[in-house]
Amino acid sequence: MSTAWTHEWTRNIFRSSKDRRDLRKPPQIGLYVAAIWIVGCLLIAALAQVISPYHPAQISLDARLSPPLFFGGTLEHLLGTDELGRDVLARLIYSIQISMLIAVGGTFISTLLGVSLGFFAAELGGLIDEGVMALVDMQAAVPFMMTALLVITIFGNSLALFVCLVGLHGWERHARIARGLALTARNRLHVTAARTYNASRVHIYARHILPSCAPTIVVGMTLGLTETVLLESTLSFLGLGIQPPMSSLGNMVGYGRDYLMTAWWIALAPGLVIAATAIALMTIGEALRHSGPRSASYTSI
Amino acid sequence: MTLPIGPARVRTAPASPEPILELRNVDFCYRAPRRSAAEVLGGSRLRKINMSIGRGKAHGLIGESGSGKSTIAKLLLGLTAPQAGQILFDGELLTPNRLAAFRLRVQPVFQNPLDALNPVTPIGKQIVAPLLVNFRMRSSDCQARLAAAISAVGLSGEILGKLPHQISGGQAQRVNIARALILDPEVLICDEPVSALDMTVQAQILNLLSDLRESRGLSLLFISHDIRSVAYLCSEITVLKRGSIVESGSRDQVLLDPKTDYMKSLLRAVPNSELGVEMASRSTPYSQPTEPRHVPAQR
Amino acid sequence: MRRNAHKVFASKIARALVTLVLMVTSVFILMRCAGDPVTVLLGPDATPDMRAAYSGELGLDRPILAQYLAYLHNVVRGSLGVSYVYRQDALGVVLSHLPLTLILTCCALTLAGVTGIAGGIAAAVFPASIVGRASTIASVVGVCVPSFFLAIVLMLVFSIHLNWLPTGGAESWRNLVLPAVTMAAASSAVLARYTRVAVRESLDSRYVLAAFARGIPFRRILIHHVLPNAAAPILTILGLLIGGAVTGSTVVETVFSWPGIGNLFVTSVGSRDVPVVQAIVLLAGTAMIMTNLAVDLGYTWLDPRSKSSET
Repeated sequence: MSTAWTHEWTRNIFRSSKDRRDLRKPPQIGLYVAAIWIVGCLLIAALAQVISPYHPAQISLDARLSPPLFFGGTLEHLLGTDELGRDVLARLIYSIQISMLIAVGGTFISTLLGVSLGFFAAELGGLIDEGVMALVDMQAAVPFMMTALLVITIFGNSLALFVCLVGLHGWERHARIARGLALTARNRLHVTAARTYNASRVHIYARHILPSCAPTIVVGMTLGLTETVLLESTLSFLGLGIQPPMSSLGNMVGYGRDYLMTAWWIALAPGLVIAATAIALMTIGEALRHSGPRSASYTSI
Repeated sequence: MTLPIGPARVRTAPASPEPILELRNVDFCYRAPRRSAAEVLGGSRLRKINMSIGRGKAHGLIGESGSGKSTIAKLLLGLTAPQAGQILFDGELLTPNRLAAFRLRVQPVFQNPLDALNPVTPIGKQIVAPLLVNFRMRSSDCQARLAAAISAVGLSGEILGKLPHQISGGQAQRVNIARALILDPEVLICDEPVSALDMTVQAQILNLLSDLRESRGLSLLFISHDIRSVAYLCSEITVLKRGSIVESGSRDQVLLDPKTDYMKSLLRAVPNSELGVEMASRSTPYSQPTEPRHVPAQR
Repeated sequence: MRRNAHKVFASKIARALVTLVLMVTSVFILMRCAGDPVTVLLGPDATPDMRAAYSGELGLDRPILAQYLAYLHNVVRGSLGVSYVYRQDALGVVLSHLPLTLILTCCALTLAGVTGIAGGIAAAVFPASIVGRASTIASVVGVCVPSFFLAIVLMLVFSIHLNWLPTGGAESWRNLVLPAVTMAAASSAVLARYTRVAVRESLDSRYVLAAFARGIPFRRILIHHVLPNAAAPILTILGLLIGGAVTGSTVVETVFSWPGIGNLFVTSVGSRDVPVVQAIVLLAGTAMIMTNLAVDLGYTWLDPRSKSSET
């Protein structure tokens, strides 16, 4: 037993660094599949109105609870139909559109907010720095779900509010990363050189500091996107996110939960899409992280 | 702000005896919080620094690591302010609201040429950036000045589209000098401009700086720990030790007749054959174009 | 050394208190942003007497700072308003749901702790073996599959198809199995990821190489050299998971109709029962901050290096 361990482990530790890098890298094929999946989802989201076989709200009472194709269903409804005879595939396509919109919008907002606050904290220092970092600490200390639910209770819910709310998620990590990177970057010699020819702070941040932080921020965005997808679907699943006439993926799972006994496919199809999207985003994020600059700033998943 | 158009001004060298840049009783100490490792290593306390750089002169500043050379460069570039004392430029006190105008006339050349360039911007854009930032010129208007600047430092036009990692250290230092020259400054603060380069390139850059001083009437502050390059380039030398000036004067005074043990030990540390040869031929004026090109010896 | 450690302790406690006050303050600001606080706290169908009494208690005629202080006072006393739905003191309602959540959380976290740490160590020590690969893949999948979906799949398989376990409720231990497993899955995945990274880093270090070169048996290296050094990040994540238990249990409790705080949270948000939601947020936030503090102090106690650091 012990010798087997030792053998295995010796191999690991004395393997050349190149081998170990290969080991850390996820298999390339997985990365391609992930990229194709994400591009496919974005395409579906962009073209939902064109490619959807039915209108998502179209009711056909003759074809209620028809199962998917290979489980005794027909070609007309590839993924079956729900309680009211609405086509699951059509609803799925429209839900992907809404979910992608919220995920991308939310991630964009949180990155913008986080990076600008991080830069402000780094550049201005002093009380502003302390204040931003106190906010970051607070946001990190209290689970975001709670903040989100509190806000929804007090202010009610609408699409715009919901996107902003999702956008508040994760800003603190971007802020922390951006602040750290900016504090390092602003001491670089080319930034000092720019200061000596009267470059303004805006110029320095736009031309010198942002480009040097960009790779790390992009990795953070990918990981943030994963979390946003999961957060949005969870809130919508609980019935506290996107509200009924519209539907997102989480919403569909929540609706399908009531028909689990009779029509499992209503909940399973969107659930699989969420899981696959999250896994694909995570794979891409990990690949980017390992190929890009190494940074110790990602201490939370 | 006036737009400096046209060929670089040629200033008639030592017009007035009044120094162009002067430090008076400057005290400086890094504050404890937010002190980066580099500052801990490279920075130190400066005490009662009095120093002046003559118009059109090349002034050398020698000292070992940590003696405060780079801190003086920072002070003279307005990157940090002294705790006590004054910095005078052209007879006027340097104050925060004069800083912008001051920086147009005093430009730096840094030690590590590749670090001083933004790694993601093409060289050409970086050289004209000072013009764009200060005068809101369109980049098409800068072409003439750009061409003048790169020919002044002996670069060809094909380098302009490259990124910093595609060029050599010597080329990068020329690019830095070009970027400094494009504002047509009166003073160049050179903080160890050749220390990171290899020997032959060092000689080229030293000659370039010397030529530029001649042809444009530039004043130079040349900071180095290498006595030989200072001896070659500069007519005045100041020696710094742990934040205080221990010796100051003309080149001959300092090098041939050192008063302090510190300077003597510094001189002894230099392979003396090289310095001795140069000292022997000191009858020739310092940096006449006819002087045979100096190639610093192997260290 | 000792005094220094006390100073570090004091600064950590002070920071936790500041975070706590900040949290209460932001809840206060959010509530004030929403409109008339009496309506928000008492609900739309409160009697005028109640409204008058409560606005007197809140001191709405006084300046905002005095109101804020009154609010702080109320929070400290535990008077967080009356639930619209239950017509009882909100804090009491929340506390009555607490035991079930604690049971669920304890089971789930024990399960997660054991599987997550074991899986993480396996993945770090034998990255190429089947166990290691499986653990690595499982941790990615576990993080990415949302717990509501996992819950539904488990329910579909074990309750509906196999009919082994009930789908919901809290009558016997059989009701506990599915929620605990679901909740453990996500935590275990997170824990496994961090354990893997921490152990891997520790394994790659020079002191382990040196220990190996001295001929110390592998098991001893693992227990005496690797794990103590990997413990700190694992402890942090464990602390985060414990502190976040209320939020973590929200989804699972809802899906499996487990009548704990998480379930109460979601129904209260649905019925916009502000006092209850506020009570849960303050309670869970406090729990979170306190666990973080405990983990921090634990570090300082355990790790000889952090005693000398000022931060």
